[in-house]
Amino acid sequence: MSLVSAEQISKCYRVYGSPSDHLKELLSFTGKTYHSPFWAVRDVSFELERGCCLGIIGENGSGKSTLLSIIAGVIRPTEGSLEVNGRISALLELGSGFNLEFTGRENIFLNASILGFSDSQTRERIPSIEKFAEIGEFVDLPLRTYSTGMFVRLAFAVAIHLDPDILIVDEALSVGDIYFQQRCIRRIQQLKREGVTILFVSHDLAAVRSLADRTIWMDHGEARMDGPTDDVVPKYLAAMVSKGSREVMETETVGQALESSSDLGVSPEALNRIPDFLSEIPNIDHQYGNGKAKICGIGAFSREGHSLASAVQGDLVCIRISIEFLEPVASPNVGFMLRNRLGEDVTGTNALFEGMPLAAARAGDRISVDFTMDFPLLKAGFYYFSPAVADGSLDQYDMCEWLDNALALEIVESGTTYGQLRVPMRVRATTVPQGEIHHQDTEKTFTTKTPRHQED
Amino acid sequence: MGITWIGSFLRNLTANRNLLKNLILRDLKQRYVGSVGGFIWSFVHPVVLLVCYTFVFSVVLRLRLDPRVGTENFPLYLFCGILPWFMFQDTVVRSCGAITDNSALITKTVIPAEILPIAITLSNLVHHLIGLTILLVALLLFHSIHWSILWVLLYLPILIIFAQGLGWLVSSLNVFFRDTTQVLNVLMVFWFWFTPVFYPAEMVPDSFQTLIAVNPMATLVSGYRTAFLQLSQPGPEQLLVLGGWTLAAFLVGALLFRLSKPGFADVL
Repeated sequence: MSLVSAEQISKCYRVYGSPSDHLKELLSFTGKTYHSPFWAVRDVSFELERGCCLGIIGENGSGKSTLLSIIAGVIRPTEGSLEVNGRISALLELGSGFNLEFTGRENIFLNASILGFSDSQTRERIPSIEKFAEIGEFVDLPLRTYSTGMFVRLAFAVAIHLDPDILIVDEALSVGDIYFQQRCIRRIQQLKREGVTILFVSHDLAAVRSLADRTIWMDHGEARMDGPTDDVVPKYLAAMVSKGSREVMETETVGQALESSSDLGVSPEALNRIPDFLSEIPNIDHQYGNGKAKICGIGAFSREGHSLASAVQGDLVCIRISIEFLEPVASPNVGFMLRNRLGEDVTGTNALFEGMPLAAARAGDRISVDFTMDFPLLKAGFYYFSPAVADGSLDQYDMCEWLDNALALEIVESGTTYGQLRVPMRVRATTVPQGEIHHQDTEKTFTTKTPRHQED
Repeated sequence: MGITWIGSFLRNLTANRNLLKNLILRDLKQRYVGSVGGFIWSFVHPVVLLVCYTFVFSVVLRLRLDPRVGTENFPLYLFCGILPWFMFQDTVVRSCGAITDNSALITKTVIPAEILPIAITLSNLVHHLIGLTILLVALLLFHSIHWSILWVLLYLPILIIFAQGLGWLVSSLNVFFRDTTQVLNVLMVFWFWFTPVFYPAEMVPDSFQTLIAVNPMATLVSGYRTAFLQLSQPGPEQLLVLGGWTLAAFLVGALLFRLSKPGFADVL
């Protein structure tokens, strides 16, 4: 017997001119309609067995969350049938059933009773909830005193401890700190082994890859593809790349490959301060790859060769990635992805893309690759480097090792930054005499000079 | 169809009794969250009210009730009338936001929505019972307690059912028309002053007596006074009208709530 069985479910949102039109329609016995339809989900069918994990991916507004809400029973499908056999625990929005004025403990009881738990059943679970949430004595303080992290941890801890047959998680994993995200993923894997069916929506394709057996790719409300995760995710990625970054791929703007250290902008003395081979990885959230090569260390260094935990926007930052090859690799390539606090990719590059192919490696070879940049003028906050080593060309490669968010760098603003980033800009204003209208050649040149943080 | 609805409603209520309990506790605690006195304030309010009435009406104004009324103790007379009114007004006015204020629960969790207004009614009932306890103590000290008090067993359930019906009605209306709260607040002012709480119904001119007769709250208020002060029972026509209003309010409220419930999550 399948635990969740959805047959051609569709959700049509009725767009009403005013809320009163909505009530008129609900109460109308003649069946008169007062709306224009918008199909948020259309004809989605699937069946899920016990212990199966379904990932739902897609762009914003593609109907992922609506689909989850329907399965959770919060909203009703307009068409189609949905059969769910088992207790559902849903994290549709973090701490949605929580009241900020009440203590963590009181909120646990309230949430548990929504799922039909008696107080004594809840009491038995409190110790393990507290343990997982790691909120200590905060459990008896009002939620408004919690940090975002504690809030997230508590909400997640409650959801997984209420014996769900089906666990529904909407994007919740991307909110907590990296360390907690990793624990959540491990816990979800454990629940899966225990026979819990999991449905989750995520933009984090690495998480989808590591958790989901099966993935549905939602596109404009329809299931564009449904199948094994390993088939769906690459197709999705390919579609996203061809859609969003075509320009980037086509314009052959390749950075300059630099051989000598002086061209890096880092002095030889400074380079001497950096160990040739790094053997420390500050953090590992998630790792995958075929294991032919191993990332042994990653670090961020300043112009003077000092190890960096934070930098000012526009500062010179050198990222050194040290690799050890465990097996021969014909065309190695090393690179990284830079992500922001939300786990969104900001930018990424690799040696090959920058025009610096690396020599074939034998088993046992060790290399260090430096990427030196004037750090983009991104708004203040934590940014994470995910290093990777692969074998192959830009288009076709085998991932040897990928480490998620191995290195964190805190960026400090050198000036107010509106939005995601600041762009060096030149502005010219021209007074135009009245009555005289003609085209102005506005100056569109970007300065190449970026502000430098003065240390000396 | 009605029977199966009632059946499933009652089953739902039993299945969710623990949720109901926690919601009531939440509601009770919410009023005094962060205060040191906590629940004690629930006792302080009615006592202060009673003391103030006594000071204003018996000490300062030295009001004497019309002999037709049957009692001379104006503060107790007033207190008897204001307790059921407060229970009614508080329940209906607060129910108005029962769904809209809990939109997170409605849209993000699977919660039987009808329970939210019920929790409000029951939490108000707790406060009502506290008020009645204080009334009983005052009666013991300044008046007497008579077997007629058992009449409260008739009037209190009617009050609860009537308020619950209207509570469902306004809570679902408010989802679709946010003006409901405003309309209700204005309506309640009228309703309060047209209900003989501060004045005896006997003093109302004959031309306005119909207004009293069709007002279910007037009947409930005088019913409470029958129970606690042994005043004359409301007439049979009035009781019938009260019964009719109560049934109508409950059925219409329940039906409207039931029909509009599937739309809550879409609108909120």
